[in-house]
Amino acid sequence: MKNVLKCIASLTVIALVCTGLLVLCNKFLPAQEIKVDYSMLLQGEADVVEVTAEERAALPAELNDRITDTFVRATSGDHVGAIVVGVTSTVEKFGTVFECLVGVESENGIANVLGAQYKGIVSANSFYSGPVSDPSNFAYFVGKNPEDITGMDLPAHAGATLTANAIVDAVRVAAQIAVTMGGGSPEQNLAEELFADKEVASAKIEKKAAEGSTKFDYDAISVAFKDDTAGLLFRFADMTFAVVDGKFAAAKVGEEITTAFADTAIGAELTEPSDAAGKTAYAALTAGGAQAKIARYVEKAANPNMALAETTFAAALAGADDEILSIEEDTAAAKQDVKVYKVTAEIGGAEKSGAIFVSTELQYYVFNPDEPVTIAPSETKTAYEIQSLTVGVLDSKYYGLSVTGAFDYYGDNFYALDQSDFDESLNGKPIGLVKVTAEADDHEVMVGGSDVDADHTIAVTGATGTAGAAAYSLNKLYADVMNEYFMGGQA
Amino acid sequence: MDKQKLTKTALGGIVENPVFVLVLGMCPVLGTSTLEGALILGIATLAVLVFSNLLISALRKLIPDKVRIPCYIVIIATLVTIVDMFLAHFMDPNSYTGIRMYISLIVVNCIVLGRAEAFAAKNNPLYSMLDGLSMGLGFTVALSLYGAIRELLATGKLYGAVVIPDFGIEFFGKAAGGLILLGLLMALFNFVYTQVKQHARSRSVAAALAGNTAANEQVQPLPVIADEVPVDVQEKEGK
Repeated sequence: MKNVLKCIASLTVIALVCTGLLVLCNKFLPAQEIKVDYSMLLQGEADVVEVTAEERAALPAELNDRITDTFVRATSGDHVGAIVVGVTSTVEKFGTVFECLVGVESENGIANVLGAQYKGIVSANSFYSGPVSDPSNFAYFVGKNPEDITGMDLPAHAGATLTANAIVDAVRVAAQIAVTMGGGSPEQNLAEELFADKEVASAKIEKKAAEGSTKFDYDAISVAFKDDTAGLLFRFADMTFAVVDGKFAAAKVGEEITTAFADTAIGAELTEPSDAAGKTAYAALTAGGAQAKIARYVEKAANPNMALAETTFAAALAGADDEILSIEEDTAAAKQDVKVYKVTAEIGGAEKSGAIFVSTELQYYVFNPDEPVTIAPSETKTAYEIQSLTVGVLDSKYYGLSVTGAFDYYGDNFYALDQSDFDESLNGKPIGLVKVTAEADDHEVMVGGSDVDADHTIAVTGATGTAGAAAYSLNKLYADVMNEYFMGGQA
Repeated sequence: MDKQKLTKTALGGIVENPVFVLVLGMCPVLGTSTLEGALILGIATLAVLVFSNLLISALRKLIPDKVRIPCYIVIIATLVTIVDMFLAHFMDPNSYTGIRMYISLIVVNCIVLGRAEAFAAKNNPLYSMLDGLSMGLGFTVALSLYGAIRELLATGKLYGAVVIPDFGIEFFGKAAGGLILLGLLMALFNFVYTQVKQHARSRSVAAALAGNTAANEQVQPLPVIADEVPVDVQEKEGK
């Protein structure tokens, strides 16, 4: 009995002393916190790789506990990768909300996970309304709670049923997030993507104020290029604007111009810059834009059509010192859904006038030269719907800075149009029907009717620029129509 | 102080190398694939060995024999936890996360408990500390050698730096490759050790033989001739 008590006492004393020692050590030797090192995140394309149970077991417990369903790894390059999708809940109608932990792995393996948390949503067949490869779609949901997402007006085709594909898509998105975040800030990545022919030195979001106004502020991505030039990229409502070297261009994605402007407050945050619109804007810019009047534009945006007219007209001007003096809506010249604006500008020291035609409901149309102009939807189903279109006329020349894009038949993919120089007189040319055959992403499309005017037929093969060709053709045709019927052949 | 015992204890890490001779603590060894990991794990084990031997030796007379193993485990576990906290506090979190699992496994490392039971429980604290130091160093050197070769073969790198560009045999990064490499290193160590031992033995035999010869020559034994037996001897023998 005595021996037993002695054993118990010995063990107890040793255990108590050891516990005391550990308490002291715990107080004076706290563990370092794991910090996220974004600079180590992925660059380039990511491959999604399944992670083994051992690797998962090696995760820090606080991260491992949060992985509820699927656990994947996306790798790129030698040693870095992104981690993890944990499906947290299913939101009826919209799909599955997932939480993903983006981390870094090193040559030591997945154990070096760092915690960065994002939320997203996947539908049955796709991520949101766009391809999962488009990170801008994801940006829409970053930082949003599931409750917030349910209150948003998501496109109707966002899936309602959760399938295994949703998980796979979620994984892809997780990988894409890592790709998107790699190599710099999101705004820098965006700038590098949009200004592909210029080397971006730095890009940051800045708060801008409209010139001469304290009322309108807006966020813009200010870009510095390595050739010591500077650029600006910003969104206003559904439009994206690009400015480089004092030249200005704009592009629009989405809804009709009037409604988009009416519903959106000035100074909208640059939360989801659309690269498609940005590319369009930059393409228009490089095709020969005009003097930037950003501040002025923003200020005038309270009257969206007026502002659009100015933008279009400004973009059509060649000189860098041109000044728009006035814009007036010409209600007498307006027809159906087409509004007309008379624009007066000082160009090269001389005052000149022109007109802007703005169509807000242009989809695809058939123009019949044998009948009075009617604008009616074509019965021919096409794979593209051309968005809004504007045409400027100055000194009998037509300038087509159309705020234009194209969605494919399902509305899933937006194709930025390759803007072309419309500095070409079309006076006197016959109005014909245009048939454009284009091929993009395996979609063969046809725009227009059956009577093909050789002068306006553009057949394009290959994916690049085909939508632009279609737009080019339509723009030309539209300019002809405008010229013939609204302006009597005279600008 | 017994000089011979001191020398024997100090050389224990080589003569009875935990990895290559005693084949103890194989779990962390096989889990080590880089020189950096091997060094950290080796030094952590060394620290635990030294202090566990010291404490167990100091407390050996107070700990009842029947509960000695649980007591040893509690002491070792405490020391391992302290080392773990120490590393978590001072090491880069990324590197630490990679080796944390192996640090915890030191608790059940056969070397630590083995030395506590086989040596520290029977010797005074000074010898026990020396034994822990020797065994810990032997373990660290063996582990580092193994980790370095494995890292080099698997990735072409050494301590993270590229030594052989565009080289790497993935097989050696995996468990099977590690096991084979360990076997080869064991064979090499034991071959070299045996050669050295044999060489040393033959040298000592030769020295012994040479010593005997020299001694014999020094004595200069006189040829035994009965007729020439010294007079005093003859007198003693009654001749």
